Amino acid sequence: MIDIALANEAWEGVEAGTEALVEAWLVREGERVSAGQPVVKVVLVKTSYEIAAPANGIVDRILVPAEQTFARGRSLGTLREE
Amino acid sequence: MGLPGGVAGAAVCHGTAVDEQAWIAEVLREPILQPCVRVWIYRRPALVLGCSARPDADLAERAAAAGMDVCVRPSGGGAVLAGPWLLGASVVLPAHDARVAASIPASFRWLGVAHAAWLQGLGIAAGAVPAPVAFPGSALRWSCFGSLSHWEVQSHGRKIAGLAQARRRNGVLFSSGILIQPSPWGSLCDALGQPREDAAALAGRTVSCAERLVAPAQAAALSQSLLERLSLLVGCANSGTPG
Repeated sequence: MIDIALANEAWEGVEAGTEALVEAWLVREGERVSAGQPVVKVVLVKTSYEIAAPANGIVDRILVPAEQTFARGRSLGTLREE
Repeated sequence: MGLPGGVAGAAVCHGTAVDEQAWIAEVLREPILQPCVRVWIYRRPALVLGCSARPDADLAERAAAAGMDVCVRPSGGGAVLAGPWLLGASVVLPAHDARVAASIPASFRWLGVAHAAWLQGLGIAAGAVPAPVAFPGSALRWSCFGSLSHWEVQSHGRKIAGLAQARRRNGVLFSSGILIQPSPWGSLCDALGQPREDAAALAGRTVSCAERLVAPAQAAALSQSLLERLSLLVGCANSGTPG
């Protein structure tokens, strides 16, 4: 299983305690995705950011639904690699 | 639809915030191969909401009654009231452009520094703040101009330009809004159902070019000089002023 997450590098320079927001999921649980395909949009520091699928696979679980916030390092969902 | 200035090069556009959002959507539909820049002179008021906003029917009704368009931009941040008091800039870069730093805060640096230098060239004491600055009083996070975020631009501690960004597979949009005249903050508060006291707070936290310049702040001249600075910076040909 692979985590879908906002890369640590994106958080560099962000003040401690700041959270990001899941703007929208672009896929559903069980959906097959290709590596590089945008799967979720998040917002951090006035920036909307598309997170791409890290591999070919099937979205297993969405852990942080749309309109909820999340902290650095949190997995937003999991991908079952194919 | 006919997009102001097409989708390439650099141009000043006279239009609305709705036109601006349509242009951005069209540009980001295909992979960006070369930087492109637009500077926007807004003909009529529009409430421009950050991407996470969910405008409801009440808001739409209030805005329509006030003669404002409503649109949601692809970038983050609080609401902006676009209109003749504001200049907007859209800089669209290829996804792997060197200016698109991995760190989101750091990626605003070049744009904030460029805006500060442009304002300094006009004779306005301005600087880009490397880290968020907290204003005294409530946070006013609902408004873009209620706070100073990474590399946004201030003049003597008052915000004069706001920045935002949208990263997409096809490219990256950097947006800015520069106050060239005092904004009607009361209209923004009314449209969003925010208390009128917030209008006074916003007025106290912000300043416009007109308030800092001795000569009149003419949108046409300011937009052209901003376009020249940004297009030179990102290496993008000026394709004129489509009107």
